[in-house]
Amino acid sequence: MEFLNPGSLWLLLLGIIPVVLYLVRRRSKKVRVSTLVFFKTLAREHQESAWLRRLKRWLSLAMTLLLLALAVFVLSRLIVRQDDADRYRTVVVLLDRSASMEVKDENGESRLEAAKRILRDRLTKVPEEVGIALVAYDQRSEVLQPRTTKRRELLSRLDSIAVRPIAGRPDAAIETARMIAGLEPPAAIWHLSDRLLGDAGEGLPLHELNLALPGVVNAGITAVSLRGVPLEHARYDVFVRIALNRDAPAPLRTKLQVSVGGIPSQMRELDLEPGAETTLTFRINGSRDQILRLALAGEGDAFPPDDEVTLPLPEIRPILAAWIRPDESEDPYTRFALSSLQESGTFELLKGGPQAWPLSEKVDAVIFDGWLPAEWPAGTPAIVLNPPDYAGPVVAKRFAAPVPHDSVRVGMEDHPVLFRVSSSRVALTQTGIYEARGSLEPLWFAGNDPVLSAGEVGGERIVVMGFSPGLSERLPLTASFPILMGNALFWAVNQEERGGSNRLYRSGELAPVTGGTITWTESGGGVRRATLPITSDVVEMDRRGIWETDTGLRGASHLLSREETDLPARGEGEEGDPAYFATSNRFAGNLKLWLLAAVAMVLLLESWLFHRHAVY
Amino acid sequence: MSDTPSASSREELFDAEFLDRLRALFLRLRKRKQLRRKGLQNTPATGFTREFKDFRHYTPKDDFRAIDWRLYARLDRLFIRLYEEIQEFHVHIVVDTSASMVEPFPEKRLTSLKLAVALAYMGLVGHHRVSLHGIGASLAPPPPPMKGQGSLQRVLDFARDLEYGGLTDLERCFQDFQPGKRRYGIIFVISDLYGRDIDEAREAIRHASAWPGEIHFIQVFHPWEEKPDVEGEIELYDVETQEYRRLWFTPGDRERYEKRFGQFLDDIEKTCQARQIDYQRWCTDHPFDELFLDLLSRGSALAGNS
Repeated sequence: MEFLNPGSLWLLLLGIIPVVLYLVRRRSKKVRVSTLVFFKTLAREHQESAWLRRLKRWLSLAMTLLLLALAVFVLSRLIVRQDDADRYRTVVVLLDRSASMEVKDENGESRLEAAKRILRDRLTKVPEEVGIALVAYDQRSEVLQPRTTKRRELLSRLDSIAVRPIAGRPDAAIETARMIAGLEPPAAIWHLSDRLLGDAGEGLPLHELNLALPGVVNAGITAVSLRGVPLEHARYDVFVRIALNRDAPAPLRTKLQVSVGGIPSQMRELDLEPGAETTLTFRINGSRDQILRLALAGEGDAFPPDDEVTLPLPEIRPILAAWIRPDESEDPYTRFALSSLQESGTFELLKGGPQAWPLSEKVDAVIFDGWLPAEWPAGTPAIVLNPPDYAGPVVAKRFAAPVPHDSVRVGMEDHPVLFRVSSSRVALTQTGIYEARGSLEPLWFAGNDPVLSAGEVGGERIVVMGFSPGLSERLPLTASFPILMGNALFWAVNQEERGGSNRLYRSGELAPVTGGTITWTESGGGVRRATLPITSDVVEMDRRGIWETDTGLRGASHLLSREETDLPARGEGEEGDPAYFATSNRFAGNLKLWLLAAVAMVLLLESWLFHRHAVY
Repeated sequence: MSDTPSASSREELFDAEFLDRLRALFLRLRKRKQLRRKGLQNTPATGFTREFKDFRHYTPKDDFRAIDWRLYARLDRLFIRLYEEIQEFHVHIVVDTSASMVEPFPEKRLTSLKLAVALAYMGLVGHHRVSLHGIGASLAPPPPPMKGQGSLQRVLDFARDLEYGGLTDLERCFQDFQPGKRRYGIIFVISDLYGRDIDEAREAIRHASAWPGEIHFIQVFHPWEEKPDVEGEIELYDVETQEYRRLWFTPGDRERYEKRFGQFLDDIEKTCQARQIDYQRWCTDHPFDELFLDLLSRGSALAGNS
């Protein structure tokens, strides 16, 4: 308990006045009367005995002094400290509003509501002179209230915070909080989330409250990818990744129901281990703009937002590729593989020699077969076959004599380039060695050298094949080679550009849009539609569901976050600092209201004791 | 307020100029009463004295001996002669001598004694018998009745020697006051009528109904008693009971006190009216002459000299 304005305490000296008045008060006047009978009929309090009168006089003096003291305490701004942390000049409240804060406890209270409730109580205990800033964060942090001492405004901002179906990024938010805290030190950061930060950095005091539930089970869809099936019409390959949170107490059996256009298509049952992630691949039939719906169900699932994904099926535009060879003699196997892709209607091919480079027409991908341009083509995915001596993003050295290999060793079996490609019966001829200056990952090894690699170089995907199909023994004649070529092209080409407008976004991403309005069809808790104006070239994907602009642009937005699906459970010792946020001391904070209430009570008591029969 | 009573001087009690004016007035009874004693006082009734008063037409109920035959001879109509009736009756003057009549306001004592002397003087001038009584805790033995103007000095001595103090026991005193029918007349009770409780006076007045005569209650009070000029913390001392009482006297209390006192006076007045007793309030700050004449005229105890 201390006084913020102790300079006003000298006013307590005014208490001398009532004491002196009491000590030198005029003695009661003695009056001789003919009879007392009329005075005896007056109010009963006048019939009091002398000791009661004395007691009342003492009481009156005590109440007068108490009133004076209470009034001076109000002026001196008497406060009770919740703890030493309240001595900061600034408190930055960092509140997690990411999707996982929507998890409800057994009383139906979400984590965010619980955080707001606790904060609301705790903020009333903070002295008025401490400035408080409010930052809410999901993927981005938003300063909802810069440092202020106006509690009403702050609480209003706090009440307006709602959960957004977006994954949280506390690292970016803590950076924002540090910046605000640095404006008016000393400062502290309060962090309320279902995940603890541990340290705010820069020596800033951090008080955290972990709002995660003690035991929580959640299985969710963490990734979805869709692509047209090579060589086939109106068929799509769907990749779905499903995960169970690490803190789930036991394995969980889940069911994934797939429906297209409202008609159930497939049902898969999955047994998930805590913390495990499983990828499912299946093929669906559907036409453009039909709605694909993936619904996951598991017993005790506490977090519905990641259990459903809906998206309109995209239109698959044919891939336009250029095949550049140094001479006219085409490798028949490569031509056969590319021709088979062309027949499926999903691939169009331009052929040419090095003299045609650079190309006058924009293509989706380039196939460099035994030749590479002097300057690497920026912004274009590439398939490099049988590379010559080269020093660029790919450093290659061609062998003087090709080296045949009876088999290959698989580097990354699950890579999409190897999807449905058999690696077991491959015999090929290595024509050189290469080294990529990027993130190329070897998929096949022949001997100790990689002969098939895929990755990104300069921001574009490339696939490098260090062998010649024409010289190889078994590979060109198997069905795997056309599939490999198709996979390489589909993987390398920018799917976003090919897929037209129907793109699946992670919530929180920015989607480029055109038009004046965007209409959301939100999923979860029934279907809700909302039409909003478009104010810029991009729209933040801050909802879950399918959207469409008035120009016909369509897309979908879903959580698809491994971090959010991996709901943490609050274990022992992971509560944060609950004692700090507890408001057991109801008198903590500024006592002005309590003191004023006490003044009113004393006045009422005095009025009742001494003046209730008075006539004014 | 004076703290101690003091004996009044003759001059204070005997205002010669005022009393001289009273010589033209006489006390009289409201109702005709057949009294044994004939005195100098004439009455509204007709009697058998030799003083002619008036003529009136004869009616069969009249005494035929009163017919004036000479008028009959002259006017041929029967008239009877009416004569003055002159009566002598008792004037009882009861003076409250309790402590409340002298403390803390000696004006009450002086007023009551002046009033008693004036009334006694009127009685003596009218050749009535005058009896003076003092009441306090009990009825004091009265001196013998006085008659004639020569007794005025005795009246003054009696008034001056009255001892004030002690309690008031109105009920006992009024019960003990029994003048007897032979002493029928006018009874004046001069008191503040403060008893041990607020209803004692009303109870005591009931006993006055049995008194032989026409009764006049004169309630004497000081203006302070009607409107006490005091406020704040006070310690009250009852001069009769010697009881102390502390209280915080607020304006609201004063308002209630005045209301209660006024109610007390009204109750006394109503009680007197119900028993055909004349009642007069006598505030000591009012002019004595006006109140005295009002007393006599309102109670019809006053008659002019014919």
